[in-house]
Parts: sequence; C-alpha cells; structure tokens
Amino acid sequence: MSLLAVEDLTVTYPGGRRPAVKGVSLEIESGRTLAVVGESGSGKTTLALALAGLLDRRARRHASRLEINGEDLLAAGRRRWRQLRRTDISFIFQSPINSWNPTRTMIAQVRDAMSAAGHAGRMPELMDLLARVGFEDPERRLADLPHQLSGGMLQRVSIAVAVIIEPALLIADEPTSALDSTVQSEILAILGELRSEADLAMLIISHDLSVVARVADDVMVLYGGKVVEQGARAAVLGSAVHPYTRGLLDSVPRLDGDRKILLPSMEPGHLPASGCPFAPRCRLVVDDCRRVEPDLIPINDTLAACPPAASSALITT
Amino acid sequence: MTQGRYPEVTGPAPGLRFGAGRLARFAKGVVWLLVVVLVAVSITFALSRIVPADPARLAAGLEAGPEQVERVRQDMGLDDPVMVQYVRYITGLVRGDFGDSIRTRGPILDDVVEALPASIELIVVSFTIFAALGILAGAAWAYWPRGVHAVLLRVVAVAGSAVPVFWVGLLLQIFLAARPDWFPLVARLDFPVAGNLNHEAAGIAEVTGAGLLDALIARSPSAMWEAARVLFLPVMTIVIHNIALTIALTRSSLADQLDREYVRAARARGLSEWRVVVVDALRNALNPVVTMLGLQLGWLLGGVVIVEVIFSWPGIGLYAFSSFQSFDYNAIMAITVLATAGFVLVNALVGQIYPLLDPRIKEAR
Amino acid sequence: MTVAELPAAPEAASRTRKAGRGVMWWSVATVAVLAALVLIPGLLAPADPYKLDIINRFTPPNAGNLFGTDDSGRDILSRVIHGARYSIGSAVLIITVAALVGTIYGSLAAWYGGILDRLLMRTVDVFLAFPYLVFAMAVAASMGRGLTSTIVALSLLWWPSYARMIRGQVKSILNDYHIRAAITLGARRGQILRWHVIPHTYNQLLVRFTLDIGNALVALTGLAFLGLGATPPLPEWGRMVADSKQFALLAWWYAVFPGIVIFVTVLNFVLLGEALRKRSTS
Repeated sequence: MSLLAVEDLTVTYPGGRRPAVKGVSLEIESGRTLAVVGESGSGKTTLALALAGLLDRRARRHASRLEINGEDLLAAGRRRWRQLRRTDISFIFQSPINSWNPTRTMIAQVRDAMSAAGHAGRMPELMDLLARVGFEDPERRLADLPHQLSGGMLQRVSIAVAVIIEPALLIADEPTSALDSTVQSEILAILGELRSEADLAMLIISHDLSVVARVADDVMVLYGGKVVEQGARAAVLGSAVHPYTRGLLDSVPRLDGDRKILLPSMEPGHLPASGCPFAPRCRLVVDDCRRVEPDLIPINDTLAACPPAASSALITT
Repeated sequence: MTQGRYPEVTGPAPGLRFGAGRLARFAKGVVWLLVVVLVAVSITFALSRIVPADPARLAAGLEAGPEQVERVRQDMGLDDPVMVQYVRYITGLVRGDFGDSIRTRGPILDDVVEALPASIELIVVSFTIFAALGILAGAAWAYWPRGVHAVLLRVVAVAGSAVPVFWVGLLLQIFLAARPDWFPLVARLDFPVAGNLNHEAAGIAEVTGAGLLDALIARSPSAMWEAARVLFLPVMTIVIHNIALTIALTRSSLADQLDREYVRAARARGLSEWRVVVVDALRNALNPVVTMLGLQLGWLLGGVVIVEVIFSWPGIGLYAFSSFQSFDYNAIMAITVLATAGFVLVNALVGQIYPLLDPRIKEAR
Repeated sequence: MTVAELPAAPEAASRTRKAGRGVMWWSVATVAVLAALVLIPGLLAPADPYKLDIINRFTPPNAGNLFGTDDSGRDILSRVIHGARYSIGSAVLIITVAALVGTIYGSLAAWYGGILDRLLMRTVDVFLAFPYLVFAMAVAASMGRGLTSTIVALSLLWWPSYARMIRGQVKSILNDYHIRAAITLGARRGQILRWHVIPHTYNQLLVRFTLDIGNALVALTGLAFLGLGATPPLPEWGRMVADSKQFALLAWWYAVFPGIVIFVTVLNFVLLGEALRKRSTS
C-alpha cells in the first residue's frame, strides 16, 4: 500500500485565474522518492504545501482522495495536520536563511521544534546527527543567530530536525537551489544517505534535472498546475514524449555544447484560460490542444498528457 | 498631532548606537541630552525676549504704577542685556535652579515636584492601556483579517487619529459625565485640587501624590475605586486618540511578519500557533511598534496638557497651561527643559529595548 | 516608521482599488468644498459671523441656525464657515513653509554631503528630539498669544521632518545612473538639482503634504484650545471649541459642531493622503 496517495487534487487561490494545482494524482511508497519537476509558477510548491497541510488559509483545496498511512485526511482539521507534522510529515524549505526566525538563536528554535514533536529529551541525539551530517561543533554553533551561519549549515540543521522525528513522509521543496553548487551536492548526498537509512517516502521538488537524476525513483512533470508527464526516472529522463519535458531535457547544458531546441520563453502567468496550458509554447500544437485539456495517456514508457505526441510517437517507433 | 506620523525614527542620534564600549556610548548620550536641551532652551529664551509682552508688567500686577513696574524689572534682572540674562539663566539651570514662578512666586521646582505625580499617574496608566490594548487588537486583526472586528478596528484606526483630543474629552464630559454619579465631571468637582484624588475624603494618607498608588499603599479598596473613577475619563480620552496608531502599526507589522517564510517553516516543524504567532512573529513585529510608542510618549507630554485642562487634572499640564495664560516665562522654560530631557531619556530607554527584541542589533554594536 | 498603512482586504484586489478610487474622489470633492470655504466664506455663510445677538444666545440648532448659536448669539454655522480661512489656511501655510524650508535644506545637505551634510542633519536630529507638542506650546507661549505665534511655532517644529525626508530621497536619486551620467556630462549642479532631482520627490512630497495638513490642523486647533492661537473674536475652530468648554453642559451643540467639522476635515486629508500614497506606490 502506498504511504501517500492523492487523487485529483486541485488548489485555488482567491483572485487566481486558473487553479495553482489542477487535478493532480500521485502515490509514493515507503522507501521511494518522487521528484516533482517544473518551472517557477508551475504549482509545485503549492502541491508540496498542500500535502503537509501548510496552505494559506485563503487557498481552497479539493481532492477526491488524500491519504497518508491509510488515514483519510480530506476532512482533517488544522489540529490533526499539526499533529501529523509533529510525528509523520517533515518539510524542508528552499531558502535555509528564510526558514529560521532571524531574531532568535538556532538552539532556541531547534528546542522549540523538538519539544513540539515530543522529542525534547533527544537533543543529544540531534547533536550527534548534526555532527554526522557535517555540522561541526553543534553545541557551540547553535547558540548563534541564523544569519551567522552559512546556508549549507542552516540547511543541515533543517534536515537534521526534519529526519530526527523519523517521519513517514519527507517533503523537500528545492532543498538545494539556494546553495552553492559544491554545497548542493553535499546536501544531496546527506539527503540520499539519510533516506536510504530510514524507510520513508520522499517527495522532492526541483527545477534542476541533475538533482532529479541523482535522487529520484519516479518523476512527475508539472506545467501550469497540471501533470503533463510522469513515469519512472529512467523513462522520463531517457525517453520523455511530452514536448515540455523534451524541451526541459534539451535545455540542460551539455559539455559538448550541443544544445538542441530551447523552449520559447514566456512571461509567467500568461497561461491560456482553456485547453492545454502548454499550447502557446508548443511546437506540436494542433487546434484541439487549445480547446480540450488533454488527459494523461500511456505513451511509450511514460504517462503523458499530449495526444499529438502519442500520434507522432506511433509514427517514429 | 504629528505623533507617529513622522516616518523617521528619531531616538538617539545616528552614530550614537555604535561606539567603543558602554562608557563611551553613555557619555555620548549625556552630551546629546545636553545639546538637545540647550537648543530647546535657547530657542524659547530667544523668542521670549524678542516679543513685546512685558513680564515685569505682568509680575507687578495691573494696578502697579510705572515706578513699581520698573522696580520689579530691576529685581528680576530684566533690564540687563539679553546675553547676560541668558548666561544667568543657563548657569542657574546647571545648579538645578529653574528660577521663581512669576505667578505663584515660589521656586518653580517645588511647583513642578508637587504637580508631577498626578501627571505621571495619568500618563503611565493611559500609556499602559493603549499600548497593551492596541498591540492586542492590532495582532488579532492581523491574525484574523476578516470579520466584523476587522471593519470595526479599521474605523477606529482611521478615525481615532483624526479626532481632536480636546474634542473627545469635551464630548465624553458632555455625554458620559453629565451623570455625575457615574463619573466625576471634573476632578475638581468631587475632589478639591490636592492631587487627583481627595486623599482626606478617601481616608488615606498622601504618600506619592498619585491617587492609585496611594490607595494601593493604604490597601483601601474603596479609595482605589475612587481613584480609578477619577482617572477613567481622562485616561479614556488619551486612549481613544492614541490607540489608533498602535493598532494600525501592529497590524501591518505583524501581517508582514506572518507572510514570512520562517512562520511557515515553524508551522511545518509542528509548533503550536501560539508559539509561531506570539513567540516568533509578534516579537519581531514589535520593533517598529516600540519606536512609535516612544514617539507617542513625546506626544503625550504635550497632549497631557490638553487633557489635564479639560478635566482640571491638577498635574504638570494644568500648571503649564496656567503658565501660558499668565506669560510666566520662567515656568514655561522650565517645563520645556524638563519635557525635553524626559523625552530624550525615554527615547534612550527605548533604544535599550531594541536589542531585547532583535539580538542582531546588540551584535552590531 | 510609516504611517501605519491601512490594510487592504485580502481578497479581490480590484475591489479595494475601486473603493480606493471612490475614497479619492470623495476626498477631492470635500477638499474642493473646503477650498471654497477658505476662499469665499462671505458668499456661503448664511449670517454675519461677528454679529452679536444676546437675546438669541444658546439657541439650539433650528432651521435658521443649523448649528445653533453661541454664548453671544452668533450663528455657529457662519462662524465655522468663516473659520475655515483661519484654521485650514493656517495649516496649509504652516506645512507649505515647512515643506519649502525642508526641501531646500534637505537637498543642500544631500547635494554637498560630507561635513556640511553631517552638520545640517545633526541639527535636524536635535529638532526631531524635541517633544514636539510641548515645544510648540512653549514657543507659542513665549512669543505671546496670537495666531502668528502659533504658525511660527508649528512651522519651526515641522520643517526638520521634511528636511530629513527630502535628504534621503535626493541622496538615493543622486545615486541613480542617469544623474551620474548628467554629472559626468558636465551638467551644472543647480540644473541637475532643479530639473532632474527635485521633480522626483514630488510624489512623496504630495502624499506627505496632504497627510500633514490634517496633522497640522489637529495641532493648531489643539493649541488654540489652550488659548495659544487665534484671539477672539476670530472664529478659528479650535478657539470655538475652547470657548464652548464652559458652556458644555448648557449648549452641547456649541462644542459638538465645530468639533465635527475639525474631525471631518482632518479625516478627509488623512484619507486623501492614504489614497495618494496607494496610487503612487502601485
């Protein structure tokens, strides 16, 4: 049974022309990692927040199914979600410096988090874990204020605090994109190691395909709040069919300098009111794309929401 | 009037916050205090000497003949050159001598000391109430931005700062205190001018001069009730006018903090709403509010004059008013000096609160 | 700090914008009415504001005297209309002087920088460290009673805040690339300041100016209430409320109507200022 199961999740913000997330379904099993890929504005952060009960009060969430550990959370209140975040769900944010209160010492905030989770007695254990993930001299350095520590150090604390409660689900929203590239790979290594030790399900959000290639088992591509393609890592990275995924893959810079077709850039927020959200930028676009919102259909090894791609795939294979 | 509407934070002069060590900072603070007071004195002194009103004439009384006026003028040293008078006044100040009042003919310092407790009581009580209530209401508004209370608070925030304080006081008198059995119309009506509370009638000893405090010392509930009753309308007048800015600023500051990522991160770690909103966000939101409250105190030093006049509250404000009326320039200048010194000191104290709210400031020193 | 910004309702930004425009037009219309009161009170007032009529003193509001009459039987409505010139006029005068002096002073400090800047701004700091209301009272009282003293006192009090605001703005504008380019190209100082820098401050200046007229009015009438301002029989608004004090229980309308007029006027300038601020920031 899947640890996390979501069906037809839609999130709308007031004043928004389109839902930020529309009809997303996903499942993650314990021990596996799902990567959600997409550019900014694609709804990936909203999706992550919705799965942790952290959406703005103004946001409207609809789904036909939302289960963690088999528990139906469609009607769960704020209290229940908070309880879940204390015991079962951990969240790592994109910007380490912004995820800590700038005016309080790290130790005070870490203590707050630990006692909230009911692990106040496990501080020594946390110190060990911090030392293990490369946070040197934690007793002394934690007495500092957040801005006195580097982004990599702060993110190590965030990760340690996130995993020490032994969550069933770990959500990481762009955990490395605010960091230098060398620090990035250290953090990814730590995440990978901790994940393989604990039998948890992980949802990692990224716009960086190299990160995805390193940590993911499955990949889901979001565009304009909709899933446009999903499948196993190898399938999506290797033989994606959706023109958007293809464009993303092709725009990864290569050492041989051979970049293929770049995606036509586009102002964010200019999504069409109906039809396929990607239609205005798509090279395979046909009239139907502007009228009908395509559903996910199996094409080659993945599921993709692109009927024209299906027909061209049939022709090429 | 202008209270918090100055967008700039005054407080200790820029540059004062940084310095080598505590002592140097303290010394700089003292110098700053002296400079500000000296400038304030000099301006009032200069202006009081270039205008035609004749203090000697006033001091001598209306029936006095020209010779008498001349004698008074000599006695008061008013025929000396202005610079001599100025130096004489400043040296007097340094010795702690504010001169004699033309009106009461006693040392001004004695008058001030006698009137001060009543004013301090009024200011402290009003300030505590509008600061606490304002922060509470503003925080609630930021946290629950919609609803009937939000509309209500918006009206208070807009109207409160536009309403003239003297008019509020007058209206409260007309419409609430028209029933003198509810509230004493004027402090003086029920209680003769010996402190805000008639200690004799209330049966308690006068220790500090502040009614509430004296009643507390005497452990007399009935006297405390009386003292609170007398305080109610003047305090309410000040609160209505001043709470508006506190509410509006707390709201916008806290709303800004609640939108920050660290708040969401704290929630993600499972912290209770109380911890997230009060311990983390509100504390950070209070920084600009504290600055504004410091400035409000500056306003209060003047605003209390108006309120004391309306309610015949026998404090320093009423004393100042009488001095204005009788052109008692010695008293006017003494009040300027004391109020300025008080305001500078208060702002220096406010400067001490910032590091408690935001330790990054302490570290920057 | 800023004037605590009035919050917009979280949803439907367009609705608030529309409401904001409504507030703006309402305030503009009211300001126009107030301007008429200042300019042509004689044409608008139903009666002579100075005409004594002891027999009809303390007449409650009625068809002939909408706001009632005062202790000398004068028509309060007419006095309020004629008083606009003294109250609003003085407030505008105070802020104009303060803004003018502050703008010149602040831009000089910003332009020359260095020691002069520090000296000038430290002086401003001294002024801003005064407890303003007490200081204004003291100055007005030492100069002897009268509307002029009060106007001088409040102008003296107000210019430093403009100096500081303008200095900050000019400093940041001077750092802009187009100004640096103009300097490099050899444009003369006065020209740059006059044509390229000062105009950029107009927006904020206007917002501040509008808000401060309301603030000055509160200060002015407050001082007048203490007898530091217009002398009788001038129908200045604060003075009228002060005069009404001793008759508060006898004739409620005497205190209520002039007060309402002050309140509504100040409120309008505040709302207009906020609306202008929102327009200039959005």
